[in-house]
Amino acid sequence: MSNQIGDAGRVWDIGEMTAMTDAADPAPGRHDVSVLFRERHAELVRLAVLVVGDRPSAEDVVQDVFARLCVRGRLPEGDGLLAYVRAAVLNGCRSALRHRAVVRRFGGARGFLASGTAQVSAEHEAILAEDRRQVLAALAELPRRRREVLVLRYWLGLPESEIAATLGISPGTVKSTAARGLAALARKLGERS
Amino acid sequence: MTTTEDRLADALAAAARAVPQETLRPLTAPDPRRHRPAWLVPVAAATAVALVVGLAVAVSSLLPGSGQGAGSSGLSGTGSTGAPPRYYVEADISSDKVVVRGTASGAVIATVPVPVAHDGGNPAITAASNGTFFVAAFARRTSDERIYRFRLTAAGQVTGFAPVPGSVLSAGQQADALAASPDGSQLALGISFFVPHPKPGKIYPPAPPDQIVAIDTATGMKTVWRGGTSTLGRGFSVASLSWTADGRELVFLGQWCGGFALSSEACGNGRRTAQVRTLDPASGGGPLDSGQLLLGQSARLPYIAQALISPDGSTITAIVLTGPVTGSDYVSGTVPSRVSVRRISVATGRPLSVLYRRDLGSTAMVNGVPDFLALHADGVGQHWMLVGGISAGPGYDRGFNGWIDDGRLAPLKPVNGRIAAEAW
Repeated sequence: MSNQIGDAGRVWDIGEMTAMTDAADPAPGRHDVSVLFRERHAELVRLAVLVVGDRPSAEDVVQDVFARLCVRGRLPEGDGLLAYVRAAVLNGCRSALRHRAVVRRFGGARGFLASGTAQVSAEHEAILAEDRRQVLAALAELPRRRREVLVLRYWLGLPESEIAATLGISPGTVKSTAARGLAALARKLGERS
Repeated sequence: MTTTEDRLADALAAAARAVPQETLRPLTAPDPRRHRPAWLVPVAAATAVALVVGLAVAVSSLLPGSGQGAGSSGLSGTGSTGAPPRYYVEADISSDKVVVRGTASGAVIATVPVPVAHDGGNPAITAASNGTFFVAAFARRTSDERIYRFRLTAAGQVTGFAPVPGSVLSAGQQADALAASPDGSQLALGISFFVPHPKPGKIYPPAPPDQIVAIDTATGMKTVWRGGTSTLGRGFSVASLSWTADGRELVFLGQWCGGFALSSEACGNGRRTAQVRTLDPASGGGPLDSGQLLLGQSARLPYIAQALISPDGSTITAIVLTGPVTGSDYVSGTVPSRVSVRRISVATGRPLSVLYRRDLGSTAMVNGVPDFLALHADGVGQHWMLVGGISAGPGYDRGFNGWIDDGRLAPLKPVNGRIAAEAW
């Protein structure tokens, strides 16, 4: 279940997670972690899937972020915590993609990345129609920032100000990056422009 | 055929649906003994190897106009006299270039040698009535924005291109609004703030309210207006700037929680409002509320997107949004769906005429609705240029760009709103 955490055969529920974080450090914002986990875990995994391209890596990224949240001292409060965690998930995705790039450069996992796009599960294959796979493949080929901006905007529907805060860039850069990303996507999809 | 944006939103939604919550694997409990500031290491590494966004993708052809231009019915006052200027200057986001185009043909006449940084914000452009153009752009290999000026020859060629003295903005400042005094001796900037080198994952406090700076274009001396905006709320930004013909009044439209986000979360649950106010360029600066209030948001003017003073100071020409906020299947709407350009009396605050109106339809950003509306006057306040958004990229046809001609929008090319800024 998504509302549990486990370790080497032991599964923790969210209440235990909260108790553990409270015991470690009562700093402001820590109580919100369990709420955030309960309400946003799936969303964060989906965000990571859309950026990093495959579910196992996405779950690893989110796992790592929540693990760090549990041991971290001060955390932002309220809405700031969600923005903080989104940014952390995107950072984790970058690390995963960077790792893949290194592996690919040295010839490893060639089959895994042969198509230049991410591995998808059989479930994904069944759900995604050909047109959607084409769009996602084109999206995966975009530079990292463009891909992140487009996912935050067209999946999460975040306003520019929130995208800017999450990615640490100016709203103007969000606008121009989104526009360039769409232009590149249209070209890759062979749409008339 | 579906649009790029529709296809993208659909594909992302489908991909997300393929990750059911009940199938997510349990999280592994962290080991409390591993308490160390390891978080900083990947953050620093991520910063160090951040990819550089490449050159913008050139787009080979342009979409036709939306064809939604309103007819003359119900409109009064043409807003234009005689032929419009022969040339205009624009920044096109598809090419990252600032170019001169012919008004009638849309053909590129010349390229302005602005060293635009590809990863910076979009340039801002304005013109003085004496034929001088000003462009604010982030220079390559720096994070600082600076102002350039130039003139156009009778044939539309660029001449006298040079940086304006003292016009390099401080790191973390960006000129969002721009207006030159009629003789070109003063340039007013609406300055917004951003974090120039943000650390990924770090949460920064909200940006301070916008400021207005007037630069003496001969000496580089600056006059600054800041503060005085907190009584009306948070999230203050300068949406537009303009001058009277005698250069004695600088007029700005200030928005609180404005822009193209009606959602209250965009500015901490603040209240959206707007005011049109004057500033005295000879005052030496001061608070932004030091001048006269000319016009405010009201039930009749519920959303003022742009507001420019007439040369004689008697009227304001404004972009006003009214009507319902219409969203899409994915995202709620962002602004009211009806846009109009109106002349409003400064003396009475009452509308004198409607120059143009248009139905935006759904204003959800996912549907490519303009995320900005811009209004530009020529040097004598006779011809109005109206631009709708940059988010309407290739594959979408609801952006618009043209000049107001007897209640209609005469298209300017490119017509699909992919331009970031323009002036004539």
